[in-house]
Amino acid sequence: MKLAKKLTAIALGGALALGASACGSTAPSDGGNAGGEVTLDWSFWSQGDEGNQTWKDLAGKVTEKYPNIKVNLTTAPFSDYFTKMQSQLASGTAPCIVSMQSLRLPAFAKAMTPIDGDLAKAAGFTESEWEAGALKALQNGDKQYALPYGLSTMVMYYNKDAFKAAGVEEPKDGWTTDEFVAAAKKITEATGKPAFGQTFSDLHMSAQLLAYNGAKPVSANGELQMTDPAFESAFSWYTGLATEDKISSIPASSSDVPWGEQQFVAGNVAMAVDGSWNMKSNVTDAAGFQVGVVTLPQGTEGAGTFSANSGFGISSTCKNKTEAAQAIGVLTDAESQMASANAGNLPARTAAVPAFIEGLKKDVDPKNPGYSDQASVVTKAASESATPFISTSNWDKVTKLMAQQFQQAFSGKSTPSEALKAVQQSGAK
Amino acid sequence: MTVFILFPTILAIATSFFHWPTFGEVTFAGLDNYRNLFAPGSQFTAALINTFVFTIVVVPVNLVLTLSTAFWVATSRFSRLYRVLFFLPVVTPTVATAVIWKLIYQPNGLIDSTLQSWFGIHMPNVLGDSSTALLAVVVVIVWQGFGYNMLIFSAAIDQLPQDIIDASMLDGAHGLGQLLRIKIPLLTPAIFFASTVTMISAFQIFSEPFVMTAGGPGTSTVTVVMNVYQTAFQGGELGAAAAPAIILFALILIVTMIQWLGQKKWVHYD
Repeated sequence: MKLAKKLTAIALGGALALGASACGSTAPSDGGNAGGEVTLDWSFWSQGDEGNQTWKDLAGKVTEKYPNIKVNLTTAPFSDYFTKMQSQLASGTAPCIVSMQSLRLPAFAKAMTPIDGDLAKAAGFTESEWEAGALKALQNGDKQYALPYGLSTMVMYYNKDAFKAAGVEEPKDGWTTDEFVAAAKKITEATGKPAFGQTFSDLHMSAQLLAYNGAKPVSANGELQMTDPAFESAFSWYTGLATEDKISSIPASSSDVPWGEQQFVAGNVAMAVDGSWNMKSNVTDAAGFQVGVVTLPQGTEGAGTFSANSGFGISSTCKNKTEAAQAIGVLTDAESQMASANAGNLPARTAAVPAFIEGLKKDVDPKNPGYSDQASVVTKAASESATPFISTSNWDKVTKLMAQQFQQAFSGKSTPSEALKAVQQSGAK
Repeated sequence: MTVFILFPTILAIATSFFHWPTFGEVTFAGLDNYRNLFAPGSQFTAALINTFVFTIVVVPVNLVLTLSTAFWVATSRFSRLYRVLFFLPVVTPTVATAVIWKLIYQPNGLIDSTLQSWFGIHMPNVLGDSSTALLAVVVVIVWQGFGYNMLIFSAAIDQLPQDIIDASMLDGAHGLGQLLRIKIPLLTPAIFFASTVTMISAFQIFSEPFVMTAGGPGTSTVTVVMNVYQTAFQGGELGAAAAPAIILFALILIVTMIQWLGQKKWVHYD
């Protein structure tokens, strides 16, 4: 059997880079060697140098609390992380502790173990200490599959210098889509470059469409609804920013998914939507200009913004589930949340939010005055009006289709409704 | 060797008849995976057409360019240097090459900025336009693979039997006539080898379009191997991904066999 399994792995690896046999997903009972030395693998998408160091330090904290557990952190770029996870699960080499984003959970829940009963006890999990929205986003079928380390909402970043140079008043929370378009037009005229950065990124674009008229790309029960009339009208407006108003810069190719966000940091566009997880790094990485942050511009039917969430869960193939739960308990406890909040992650625990703002005050305000006050307003407003983003179980495929087809719409090669139809037809399950 | 080649092939063929998710239940699917390739919304047909277009364009362009360059290099004083220079892209990692070319093509990239500063005109965004994206990728593929065949032809030209060349000169053959009637026929074994290998690699094009265009805009640069990769590792359906892989395998096998049978007609092994 062992030899057959090995051969199968080698064989499939050769033919299609596939993995071991399908019975790999039946997990052994947990507590493999209770009390003995355990090394747990933990995979995470890269958080930048500073962020990775913060998490490495927190992995060390696990060993401080449980001397028998060592946590070994490996990172991959976000764009490859879930593809890598697929192949690891297929070949039965998945790490014990998996970092999971709420948008990908429907696709991966089958390969994870819910954190409930004894595992919840081992993790020291108390529901009342958490933002309810943060927990909900990492549930699937009413079971908690991961404990969140942060809460992410989508917000608008803008280049203060560009606004000043064009003589446009800086946006304030509660601004409207009309004001947004007017500001972008003025800046585009003044600079001769498109003022807004469009994107193929799922959360970024969808959040702006939700703010425009409350449209959602996926229905409440997880069905793709690209051709829903409200979504079509919002997407037509978004496309029109490039094709009719000529106020936005569009991705150069379908492989440039995070276009707007990257162009913003490089100083090529004056406004872009990005996640609250970059609230600190967007300022520190900005190419020599002052950064402001504000809530998304709302249309008359606008519905706030989307939130997404990331956290740590246990893969179903993990042999030491109890130890993994203990480790996750430490990685997401109050103290760790404080540390990660201070490093610039918007926390999922209510008590750690002030630490996040303090961190910005200390690290960002001296060079970029007034930012932490803006961040505190935006954070509060965004989490009050945030709807958890619901995705389909084949979300990775859908995001790829969006990049392919929306390129056609943004460049005027196809109509918005043709592009949406094409994504719907290929992406609906 | 059987273990490493035959066994995986048989297993891959078997996989294509199952619904085989990356994790979860494996169930028998019969011909479903093959049927779904041609269902509405599937990108396989577009991938197949693009792959054929890639192959039909890349192979002749590559052969004509490499053969003519090889003749030119053979007469040059710096033939060694040229061979090294032309071979460099072949040993450069494909992904790195593709990323660099993407930067060259991009708006405000190398070509665009140069055109702006010299003539004040903009270069169209070739990778973002479905009518030019495929050609832009072909340019990169030809540029990258160019050195390999050129080296093969260079070696073959150096090996040309001098006695036959001399005899033909005495019979009054020189210049273009000599090239077409004497030298090229003598090179046919090398041409046969190069065309077969280039054809096979053109069928398997993946990295360049994957990095540069991710298959877009629309489905204009999706290839069969990209379709396999995306179905398997982004869609998580291994059985459904095995089906196009098997079809591609069969196609390459058939085309190579036709070439193999055809060589009697035009390849001269003295």
